[in-house]
Amino acid sequence: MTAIEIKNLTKRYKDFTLDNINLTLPTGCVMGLIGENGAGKTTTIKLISGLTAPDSGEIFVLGQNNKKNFKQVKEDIGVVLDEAYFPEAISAKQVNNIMKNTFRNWDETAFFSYLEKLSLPPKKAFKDFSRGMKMKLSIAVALSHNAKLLILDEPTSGLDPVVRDEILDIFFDFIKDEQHAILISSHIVSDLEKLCDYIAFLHKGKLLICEEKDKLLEQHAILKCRKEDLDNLPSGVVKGCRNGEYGTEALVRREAVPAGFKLERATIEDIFLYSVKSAKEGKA
Amino acid sequence: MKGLLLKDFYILIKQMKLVLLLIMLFALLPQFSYTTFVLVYVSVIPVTLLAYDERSKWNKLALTMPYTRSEIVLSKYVFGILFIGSAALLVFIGNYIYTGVFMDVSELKELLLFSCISIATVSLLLPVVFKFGVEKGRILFILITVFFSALLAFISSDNGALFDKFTLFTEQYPFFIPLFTAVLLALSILTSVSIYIKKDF
Repeated sequence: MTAIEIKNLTKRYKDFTLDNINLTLPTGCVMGLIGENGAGKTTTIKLISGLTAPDSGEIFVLGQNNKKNFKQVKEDIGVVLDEAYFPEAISAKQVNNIMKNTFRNWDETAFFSYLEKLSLPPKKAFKDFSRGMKMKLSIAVALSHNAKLLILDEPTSGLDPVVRDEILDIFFDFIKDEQHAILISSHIVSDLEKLCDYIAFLHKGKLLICEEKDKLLEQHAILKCRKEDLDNLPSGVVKGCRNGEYGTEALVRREAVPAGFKLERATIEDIFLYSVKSAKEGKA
Repeated sequence: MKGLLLKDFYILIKQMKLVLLLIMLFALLPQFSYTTFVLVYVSVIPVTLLAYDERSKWNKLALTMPYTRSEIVLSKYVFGILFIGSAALLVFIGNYIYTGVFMDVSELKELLLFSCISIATVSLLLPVVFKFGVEKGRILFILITVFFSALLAFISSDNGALFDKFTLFTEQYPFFIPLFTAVLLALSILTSVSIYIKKDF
């Protein structure tokens, strides 16, 4: 089964268009949505969650079109939006009571153990929470109703590295179940590189790449050489390059590089940066 | 929908203590004319709650949970009507405490009339707020208030003749006001839902 399937999704705003997005997230997998600020990550997540209606295209979440009977499907989804939007006056304990009357499968024990694990005070008013605490509360809620799918918009931004690591561990635990899936957006690419099976690059509303992470890493490599050597390579090999004082560094298609060149491993961050760079240059 | 109502209840308790206290105080005061104040004041509560929702952007979060858009809209009406009902009950009890006897039919009718006016006010205000938000909606509240004051001034302009006619009319057709309120409420809910369903968050 697929956790999320997006077909020809388009959403136009005055100054931004999310342009014909297609992607599929199978169950048991984690997909990382990478993009600059304003690339369309939040818009994509809002469209999937039903906060915003698309101009065209279809979205299936856990096999169900998100325009029909979505209430039922939402029981099985945990969403963390770009910010935590709880009412200012209420406390985590009150959040528990509200959610108990909201989600059919609300797990009180799980919620309070997350509060403890993430060191969140149960009685403090939400408005006195720090940004990190607010996000942590959001994450605790998303994880405490036996969701099958997590949709997370920058859940780790604003958190310190220690907490970020703890939360990534929680996500790793969650994904051990093969019925589960996660869609996570972030610009902390290193977090995503650890966690994800699939990587999707968004750039100015367009999906540049959507591919299995391992394939991406296999297919690409970093080549450091002189600029002349690079120019001699057949076309289509170089996907992006950066000219420095002491030589050129380029992202290349590993297979297409002739023998004799020394290749280094490319990280997801390299692949992302070079892809965006060449997309920008292509437009200019 | 219970979760949504509970959330509004928490906000009311925590952030509108003073309003609640005033309502209690005036409801229990031994002057029936305060009823007007109580029931009119109560009718702005759903709007105030929406203002808090707007500020915390709670609606975005609520939409990711198992609620339909219609339920989110409806919850505000349900909360408003429950609250108006409680205030009316409070006035009824207050009256008993002071006078030692229960209200008679004419007093009960008056209480019902004021409750209907409160529900009608809620019905007029909510679609406006759902459409324009609380900030922009404020200007329209003022216009609505001015309109009602003008209407009231007009009714009482010819030495209460028009008002007498109106009283006579309601005596003859006692179900007119409640029925009118019910229709207004139904139309209001339909309008609010159709506004809210089209909204992008």
